[in-house]
Amino acid sequence: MARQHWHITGKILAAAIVLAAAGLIIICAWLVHYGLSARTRPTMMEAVIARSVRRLATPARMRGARNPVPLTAGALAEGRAHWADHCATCHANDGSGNTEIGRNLYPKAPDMRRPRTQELTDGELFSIIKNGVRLTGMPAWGDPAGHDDAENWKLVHFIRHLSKLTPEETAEMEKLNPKSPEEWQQMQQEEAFLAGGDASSTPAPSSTTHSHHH
Amino acid sequence: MKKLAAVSLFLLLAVSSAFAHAGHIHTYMGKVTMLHGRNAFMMKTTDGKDLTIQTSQKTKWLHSDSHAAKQSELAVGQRVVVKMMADGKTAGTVKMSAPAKK
Repeated sequence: MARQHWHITGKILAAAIVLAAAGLIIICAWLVHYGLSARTRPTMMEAVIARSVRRLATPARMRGARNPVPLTAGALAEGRAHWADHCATCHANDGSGNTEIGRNLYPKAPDMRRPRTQELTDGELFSIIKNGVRLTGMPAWGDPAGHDDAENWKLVHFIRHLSKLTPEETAEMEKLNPKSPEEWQQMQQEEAFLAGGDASSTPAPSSTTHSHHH
Repeated sequence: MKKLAAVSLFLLLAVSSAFAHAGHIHTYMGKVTMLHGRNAFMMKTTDGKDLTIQTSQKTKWLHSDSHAAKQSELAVGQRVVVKMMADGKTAGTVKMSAPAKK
């Protein structure tokens, strides 16, 4: 009886080893064929696992937390300025993720105006900003001691506002986006030109310029 | 060996120039010379080139102080700064000066 039991166990073990080996071969073949490029989109399974783990990794008390910073025009403006300076390089001013970095991350920066982000609780958004998300391009921005918690809660207000951005707000943010000295020069040149200045008297770049899209 | 070094250098330059241009957006400064309905206008850039700028419903129209403008406010003679979309085909933002004095 015991011998028969060990026989069955051995068969199950052998089958498991064969299945694991087959799985490993399939994974290796897939990697060899597709490589580890960040250009591809995560598979549906990867996305589901990542979202589930992210949700599980958010402490329950944080998940239910409500934004303690009152929603005022001032708080929203501060959140907007903070976003333009620190977040827009990857997420874009409008939260679409349509920037050179955002498009080429793995996983790509999400369109934060869409329900998948907007349906997250305030606490979950705050936790993601503060603690980051492992194995993605999202770093942990917050101070562990909580000195900048209020700033991050203002960002949560701004994330809720993303789909309602006005052209004026976008233009204001463009002025606050990180810029190289050349981009600053270009911006000043454009303003001078629109104010009636003579473009030919200003230094290069002249009428046709290129700039990185942040 | 020299051949290998030359090929490596060529490949390095080719790759770096390709990366250098990725994600760039074009900006044009100039004056409006002609309006073509709702989807295009012509402009003369400050270095004398004539361009036809395609616009779409996604194009944002702004005054020079960054306040929202309407496409209908665009007039011949106005100064504009046009930032193309990432695809380089359609205007993403058109910032216009105050209307030209007649």
